[in-house]
Amino acid sequence: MTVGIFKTANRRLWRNKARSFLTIMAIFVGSMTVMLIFAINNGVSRFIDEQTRNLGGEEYIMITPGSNASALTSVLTGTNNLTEYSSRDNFFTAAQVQEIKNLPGIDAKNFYAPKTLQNTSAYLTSNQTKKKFNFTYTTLLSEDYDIAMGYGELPRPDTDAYEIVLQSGMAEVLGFASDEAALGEPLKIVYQNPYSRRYRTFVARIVGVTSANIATINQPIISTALETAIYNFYTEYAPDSQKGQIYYIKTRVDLSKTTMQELQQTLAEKGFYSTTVNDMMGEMRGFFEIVVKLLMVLGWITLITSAIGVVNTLLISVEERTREIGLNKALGMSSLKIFANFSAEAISLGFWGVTFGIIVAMIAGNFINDFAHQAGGFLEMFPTFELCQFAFNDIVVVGLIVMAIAFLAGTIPAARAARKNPIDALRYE
Amino acid sequence: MQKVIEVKNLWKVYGKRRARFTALKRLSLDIYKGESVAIVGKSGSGKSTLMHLLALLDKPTKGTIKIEGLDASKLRARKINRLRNRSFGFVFQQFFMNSNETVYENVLLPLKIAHTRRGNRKRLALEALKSAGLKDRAKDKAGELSGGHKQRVCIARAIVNNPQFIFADEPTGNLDSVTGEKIIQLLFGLNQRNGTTLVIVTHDEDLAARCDRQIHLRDGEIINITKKKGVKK
Ligand SMILES: Nc1ncnc2c1ncn2[C@@H]1O[C@H](COP(=O)(O)OP(=O)(O)OP(=O)(O)O)[C@@H](O)[C@H]1O
Ligand SMILES: [Mg+2]
Repeated sequence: MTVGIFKTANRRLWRNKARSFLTIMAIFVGSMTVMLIFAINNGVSRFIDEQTRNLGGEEYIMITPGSNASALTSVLTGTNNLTEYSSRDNFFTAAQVQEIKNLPGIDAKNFYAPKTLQNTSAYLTSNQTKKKFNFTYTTLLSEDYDIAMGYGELPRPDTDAYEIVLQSGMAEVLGFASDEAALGEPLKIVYQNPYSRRYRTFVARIVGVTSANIATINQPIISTALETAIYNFYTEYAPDSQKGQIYYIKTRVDLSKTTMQELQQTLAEKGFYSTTVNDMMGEMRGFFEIVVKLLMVLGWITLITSAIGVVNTLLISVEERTREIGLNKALGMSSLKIFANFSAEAISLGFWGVTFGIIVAMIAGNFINDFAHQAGGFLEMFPTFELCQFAFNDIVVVGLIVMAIAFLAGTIPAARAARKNPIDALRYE
Repeated sequence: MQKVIEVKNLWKVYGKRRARFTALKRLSLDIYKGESVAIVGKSGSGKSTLMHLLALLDKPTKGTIKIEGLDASKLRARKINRLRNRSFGFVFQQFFMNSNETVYENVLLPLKIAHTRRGNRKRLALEALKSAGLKDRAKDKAGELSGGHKQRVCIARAIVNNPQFIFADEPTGNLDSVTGEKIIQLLFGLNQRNGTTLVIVTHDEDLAARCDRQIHLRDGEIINITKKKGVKK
């Protein structure tokens, strides 16, 4: 029976093709806009999340002694990079490391205080170039790193091989034709021992290239085996006191035991400098969120406008069909049924509008994504940034909301139709 | 004889204040089961108004109408809809049909509203079309028919649900005398065979004379009720 109501409703809409079509178009434009905005919202927040994970995830905090700001990460947030000078030593003492490890909320199982080399002299070169480049590196500190890869893989955590991952763009500087062409090729890393003055060349295989991102580690990533070999070579003749210092601590925070804010407050009181992923991403995220919210408001306004279109279309239809309604009532059709019939028409208008809206939005979204990533496109630099992403949930939500709006818009004309007195309606010319 | 419609002191006033128009005054009347009643009078005397009130299509300003002993003003909308849908058949003075639908669909309408089962629907609709002489017009668009054929569509629609009452406003008004005669035969056939109560508004004296009683209206009042000649009632 319900199916029947919608069948007749659609047949009646079809009878007034032109008018129905225009109303559907209005709803179509509204729902398409809203759907696209939802998709862009998704795309942006997924991208930001991905960037966040590149930096180690939201639960991670980076702590440096004094005002020595993060040396490992660089982010295009627009904040200035000047930090206050501090006379404190720029590495941690063992006691400080222990003190930090014991702070409430610090997850001791995911606590990294690596001994690293500083002020080393090393260079990087390849078979493809005669140039030499300053070499600094980073290693994967946590399994939580979820770095978006352009090509290849991250170094396997348990490998004995010397593996290296380049950041996007480095390969071309090193003389390779492209990021992709560098995969599997060897690189030469040359260190000089500060005591013996001897050189040692480490040959590392390029196993991967990261994809371009807004926020990322801006150094090559090397396998743990390679790092150990470098460390051993470099510190071979060094006195024990200088065998590596701890310049930064990176640790997971158990957010059920403390908040990031609290922890950062405590660290600041103790004179340490800390950076969280949110510190780095916050502004960018905030900016995108405001833009998306504004767009969202525009989308809903468009939808409300199309709802007025539904009211208009159906009101005209009620007036036009006064006699038909009167006849139906005279022949015993209930007011409720007449209300239901008109509501079914309203919902059908909403259904067709939103269905076409979603379909076209998805086509347009894919087109925008392709367009953005083509050579010269505005997102060419960020291959993992899919601007428009359609979530099944959003599609259902938009679909239902639009049909609900259409139904609500339809209640006014439907109630009017249902109220008509059969005889007045029949006399209506 | 069983009274099926009882009307007491019925008034119908249209409009308000200066535009006030009293269409029916002090009208009392009983209609018996299986009876055929003609409502006659000059144009504007209130015939259609009375018929609409009797058929529960409109509400009186004052007075009571009882249908089968039940006070119409106290019936629920549901019950009234059911009565109109299942027990009444209407022929309106203007045709009132969906001109862009087919003859068949128009005749089917009361059955659709009644949710009659599909198989039955088709059989009943075809029977009604046949009785009204429209068998080969079933697929034509109602709006494209001649006046006489439109009238027949309305008759077919009125009888399709085998009603106990038929209210017909000028059922022969648009018909030539041959077809008119056929329709009259059809209505009185139903009256005789099924005991259908007929309430017919008409200008046609011939038709009025064939009814059991004639209610004469003038300016909204009953001026006379006459009986069919040669029949004792
Ligand atoms: N909705 C209305 N509003 C105001 N006046 C009305 C309305 N309906 C009918 N009337 C008036 O009531 C009077 C009776 O009308 P009605 O239609 O009952 O007459 P009738 O006897 O059927 O006439 P006819 O033979 O021309 O059909 C007429 O004067 C008419 O103008
Ligand atoms: Mg009349």
